[in-house]
Amino acid sequence: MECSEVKQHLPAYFDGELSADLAETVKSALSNCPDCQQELEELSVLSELARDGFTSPVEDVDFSGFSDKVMARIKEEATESAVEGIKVERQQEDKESLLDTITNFFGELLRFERPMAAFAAAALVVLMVVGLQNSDVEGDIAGPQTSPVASTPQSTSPQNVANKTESLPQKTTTIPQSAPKAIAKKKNRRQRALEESAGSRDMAAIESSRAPAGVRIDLDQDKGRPAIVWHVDVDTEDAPN
Amino acid sequence: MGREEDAKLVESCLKGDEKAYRTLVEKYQRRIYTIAFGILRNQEDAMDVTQDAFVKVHRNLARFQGTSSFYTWLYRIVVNLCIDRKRRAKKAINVDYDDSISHQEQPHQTGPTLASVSIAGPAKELARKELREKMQLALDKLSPDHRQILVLREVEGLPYEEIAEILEIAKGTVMSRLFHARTKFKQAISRYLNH
Repeated sequence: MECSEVKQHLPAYFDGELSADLAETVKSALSNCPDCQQELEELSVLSELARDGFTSPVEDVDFSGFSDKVMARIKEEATESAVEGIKVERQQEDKESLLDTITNFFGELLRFERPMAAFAAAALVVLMVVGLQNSDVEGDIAGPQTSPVASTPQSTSPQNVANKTESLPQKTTTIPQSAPKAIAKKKNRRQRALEESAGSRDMAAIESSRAPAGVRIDLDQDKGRPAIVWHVDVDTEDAPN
Repeated sequence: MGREEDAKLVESCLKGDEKAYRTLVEKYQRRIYTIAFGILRNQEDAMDVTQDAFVKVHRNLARFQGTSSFYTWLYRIVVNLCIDRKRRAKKAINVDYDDSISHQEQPHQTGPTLASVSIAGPAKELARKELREKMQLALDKLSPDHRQILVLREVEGLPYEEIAEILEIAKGTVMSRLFHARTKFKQAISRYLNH
């Protein structure tokens, strides 16, 4: 092996990084080359100096209390992370509670929805019924033009109505004289159609269904039969002319 | 205390034994500081990094798998922390002095050669003290990369393979960087010895 080649391998040889074969070759070449030997010695001295240079300033460094500081920092970090953990937990809880609140709100709303809807529907139905009854009555009140087809066969005369009213006072309603005429206008086309379809054969009934304003009308005058006229088309047909 | 004992201490730490970790700290603090100071060349920074290294290791203790020794793991962390710190603190002042040296001609070997500086004789202590001072100046002149690789090789005695792994460079790069680091150190120390 040439001297230049030996010198090229010297650092790795010194560091013990050469393969066994190559190391052996370098070793034998070194024995024949004083220059290469000096270079190897320089590497050794340099290494020693470097080691000494790195370690000597540290020899006098005082490490008393160092481990205490490390352990204190570790504890501090643990506390911080615990606090962070609690914060995150609280944030999550807050989020959850907010979510719960929203969910509950909608839950309540949903729970209320059906009864409310039912209530609203019921109220609407009641209003419609009452309104229609009123309109029916108002129609009666308003006059023959707007009155529905004869309500019942029994209500053929005001006198009969009055009699019924007296006989069943507990299930009566009072039509105020001051009922707005607007209610009468609400009478729908069907009513009108019914009136028309009723034709002349029901005219007597229509006439008889007229009631003077403010008169008490027995809505249950004909039990088992709806009091609303257009529901009882058949009744009108069944009604005696 | 060997690798197995370190592993036991780590195990104890994981079970919440503070004393076990304190034992590990006290065992390796000086060696870790030596690496940090060797790279950073500043006592305060080296102390900070050493402390950071132990805290970081403790933080990640559960991840320690025992495939390498505790100390190997520790110095990998300290070297990386030093690299990070150097990277962050990169300033204009942080010139690679080695470059300025490398552009100069080889110093004349008028004084003692490195091979002849092995201290001997009656003035041994005085000469050693003086030599150490010059050594520090020479090490200060090296780039962090060169100091880093020198400390891993000369102080820790790590094989090339492991140095490559720690510094995340190729083994060939380790060889060439180590060669240049030694050459620059030799030039620097020779220059100081000649004055």
